[in-house]
Amino acid sequence: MKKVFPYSIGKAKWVFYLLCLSLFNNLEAQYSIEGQILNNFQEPITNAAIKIEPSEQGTISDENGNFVLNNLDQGRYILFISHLTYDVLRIPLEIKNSNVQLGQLELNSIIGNLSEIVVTATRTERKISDIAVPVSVISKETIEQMGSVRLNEVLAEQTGLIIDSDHGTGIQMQGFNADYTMILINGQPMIGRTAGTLNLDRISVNNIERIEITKGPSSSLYGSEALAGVINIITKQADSFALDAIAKFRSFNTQDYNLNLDFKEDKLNGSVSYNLYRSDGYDLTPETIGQTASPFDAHTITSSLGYDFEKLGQFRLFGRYYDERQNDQTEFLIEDQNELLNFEGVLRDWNLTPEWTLTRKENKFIVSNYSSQYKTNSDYYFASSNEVYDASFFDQFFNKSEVQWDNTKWNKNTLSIGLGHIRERLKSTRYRGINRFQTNYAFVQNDWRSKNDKLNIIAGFRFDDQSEYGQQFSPKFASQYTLSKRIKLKGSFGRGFKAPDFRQLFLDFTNPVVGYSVFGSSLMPDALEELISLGQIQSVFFDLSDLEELRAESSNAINLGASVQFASNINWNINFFRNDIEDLIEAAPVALKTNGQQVFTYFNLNRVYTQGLETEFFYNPLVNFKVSVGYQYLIAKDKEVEEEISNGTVFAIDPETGSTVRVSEDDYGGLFNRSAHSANVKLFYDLKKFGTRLNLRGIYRGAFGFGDLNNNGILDAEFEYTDAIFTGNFSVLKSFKSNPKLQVQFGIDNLTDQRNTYVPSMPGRIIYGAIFINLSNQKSSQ
Amino acid sequence: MKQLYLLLILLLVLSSCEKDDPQPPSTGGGDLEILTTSDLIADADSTNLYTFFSLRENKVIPNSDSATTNWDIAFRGTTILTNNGTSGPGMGGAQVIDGIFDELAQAPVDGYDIDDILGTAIPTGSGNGWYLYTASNTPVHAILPIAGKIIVIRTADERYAKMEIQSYYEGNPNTTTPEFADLSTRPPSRYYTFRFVFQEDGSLNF
Repeated sequence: MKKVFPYSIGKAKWVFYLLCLSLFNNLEAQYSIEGQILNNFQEPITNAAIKIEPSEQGTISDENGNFVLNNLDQGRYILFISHLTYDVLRIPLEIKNSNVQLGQLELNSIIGNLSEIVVTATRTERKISDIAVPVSVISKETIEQMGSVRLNEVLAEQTGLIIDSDHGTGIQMQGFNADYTMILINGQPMIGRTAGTLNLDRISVNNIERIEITKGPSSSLYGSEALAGVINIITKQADSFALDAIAKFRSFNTQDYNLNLDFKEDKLNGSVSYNLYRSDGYDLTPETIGQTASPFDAHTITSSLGYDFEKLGQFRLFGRYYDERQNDQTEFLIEDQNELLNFEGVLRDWNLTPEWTLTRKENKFIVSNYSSQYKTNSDYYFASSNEVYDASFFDQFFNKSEVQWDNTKWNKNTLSIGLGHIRERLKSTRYRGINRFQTNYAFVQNDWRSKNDKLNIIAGFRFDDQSEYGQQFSPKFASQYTLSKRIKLKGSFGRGFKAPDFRQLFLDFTNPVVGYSVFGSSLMPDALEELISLGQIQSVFFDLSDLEELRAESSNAINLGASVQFASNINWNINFFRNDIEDLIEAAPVALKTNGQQVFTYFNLNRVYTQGLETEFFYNPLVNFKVSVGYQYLIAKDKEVEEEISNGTVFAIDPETGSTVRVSEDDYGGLFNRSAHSANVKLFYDLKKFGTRLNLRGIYRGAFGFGDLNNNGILDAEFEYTDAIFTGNFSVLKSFKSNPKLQVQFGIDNLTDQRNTYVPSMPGRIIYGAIFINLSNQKSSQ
Repeated sequence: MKQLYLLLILLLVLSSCEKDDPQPPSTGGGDLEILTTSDLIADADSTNLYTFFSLRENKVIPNSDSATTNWDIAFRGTTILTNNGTSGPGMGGAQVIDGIFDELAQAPVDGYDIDDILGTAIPTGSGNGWYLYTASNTPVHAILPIAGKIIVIRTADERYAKMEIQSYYEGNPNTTTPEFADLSTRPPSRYYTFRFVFQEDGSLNF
């Protein structure tokens, strides 16, 4: 739109004209912005909404995707382009003294959350569609619509994640137990595991912005525990003033109350949230004394505070405090008499993280210090006399200081380097004295993109030097290749490790009733020699000088996948995985006591593998109707057992006939508690006209082995499997035009009232209702 | 295809057995009787006394004979003694081997252990010898015989026997039932049911 100047006019006149023009430009001239909106198939997007701030102007795109905004003054603006089925595009721009031609603008489809920004997989901000490892994200809106209260409920419905109940509710990922998945809050590791499981029931989902799930080993960035993968919970950051209250009521007299305050004043923003979750619990085995899930009260306070020092960087402070109390009754056989005992459990944990981020041109520095403490007290009292029968405590402290430097100086490369120091301390009734250990670590990662952006290679490693179990080197290599607009191929190789836990290192336990002893490997052989000198040992099974120091469990993993976008509203992805795990730590007997019981310690024993495929299909038939289907196929087997079976030395006793038979390779079903098939189907429908959002979710978990019934310790017979479990969940969320500050929800989880003795986390049908109230004058952020 | 071959081979073997070699003498005829002993009490009252047993006579031997060679094996809880070494004056010994009881046609020539200060010939402890202790797995705190463990015993008078322990609970209950899983309805432990074959002629053949 260049102006053509009339050459016929004289020079002076021309100068004058130019002067006028510039004056006119500066004071009164108005300009336009033009562009064309396309999707990633280069198809025009019609009816996309275009807004420009700060101005009241707006328009929509025509059938060719074109738009024009007129009559704009000079100045800085932000252009927002949005469409229901695409991610919002935000373009900051400046109008100087000419019209702005934006050319072709590409919107990303929201199908399968592909354009969501995640941070867990690479420790830098990346779009899901740009990441070479399997990543998925669960948004706040989805969590809200699911009516979930605790993290385990949300994760239980994700493809490839299965609830694993063992001393708490954890999740199984790529066939690994809950012990092998790291749980992060705002990028920092949560502590407090019981027998390896971090109870996800401790984590309220009310103030969560999103949950990021990264599969495959991530020890190259996060160190120990990130063997199967990493789940990162990102809490909400305030973007305006808001005061919200939520009350949820459920079956089993369960209530969940949440109060959240957000504020933002200039450079300061913050969010404080209080949650009370209480329940009467439930009982799947009413014939026994004591409940399957005890009654409890749990309080959570979370807060986040941010201040923008501009040139001096951004400061953030995250804090969390959790307090849970449980009461129950149980029956113990004490000196041949059944005694009724009252149980009182108190659990407290807190964490605090100051974090400072400084960005200088192509350099970014993040300095953080994370402290966390986890404390439990479990007390048993005689119901008759109220005297203490047993009192135990567990007290863990964790501190991690870290510096990370990201550099984007070299074109198409993002280099990240980190250094950190971890201090841990542990006191417990079952451990001797105070146990401490320290870890120093360093990680390096480079993220490279080819000139045409088609190829992305991430290579990195982490080195951990730990005071108790030595050194670990964890490399990772990941690559993504964009074959075409529709197809992306991904592949990654990584090594993960899990350090021996406190129990495996320091446990000092003798069962008071039965009389066996278990010692952590750090106490060996001293603890056994003590027993020998006390004359309590009848025989030692092998030479104590042969005892090796316990090594970390480790795995080598390969993930290969593809993502195919058939249309802007259809996406399909698939990932094959294989994990080879070595040095699994298990307790094994070392000596026989004179009382006929054994002494155990921990050894690096087994080698197992897990492999399978995971696939997800997303389809949005309408802009307000989303459908997704997920499926996982899994094989998880012990290599030692496989060898023994092929040697013909594994047998089974038929419990009906009592006859002994040889187990064949086809009989072996692998590790217990693994379902070969698991799947989910989800429908989300938004009836905008009625302010109603409906959803229906079906979760299928195929048959899995629950235990050995034919006397060989392995899964090899049909009657050792449970039936498949299918649960249907339904929820409706309603908002009101007459009162935009109010939303109500009604839902039913487990519609058909399924129960399974082997899944204690499944109490049967749950009916719930919820009220969401916006108490502030401002528009709710929802 | 594999199964088909196996079937074919099996048929051939069976038919050959029938025609040419109806009673192969090398296996001792396989006509030795399989004897079963039920609910042998192994210190159920925790008096710390062993129950002595003679395989030849298929009966319990009084405790007063503990220092004689009248007994071959003795039971107390999960511990099983053989008449030798630190346990008795006999020429006994034992070893635990993997296999199917009915298929074991011959006792091993060597490999027999004796009871000494390092432990008993039949190892004690979960997973070491003949049993597994379930600990917290269902059924909890149960002692279950491991499938395919054959105890080969050299008796006090140097005869050979093979033995398989079938149950550690009174009445040889089905251990897969909810009644067994429930500690309050589980039958009492330290009641052995086992079967054995005793070869009187001093050969290794069963």
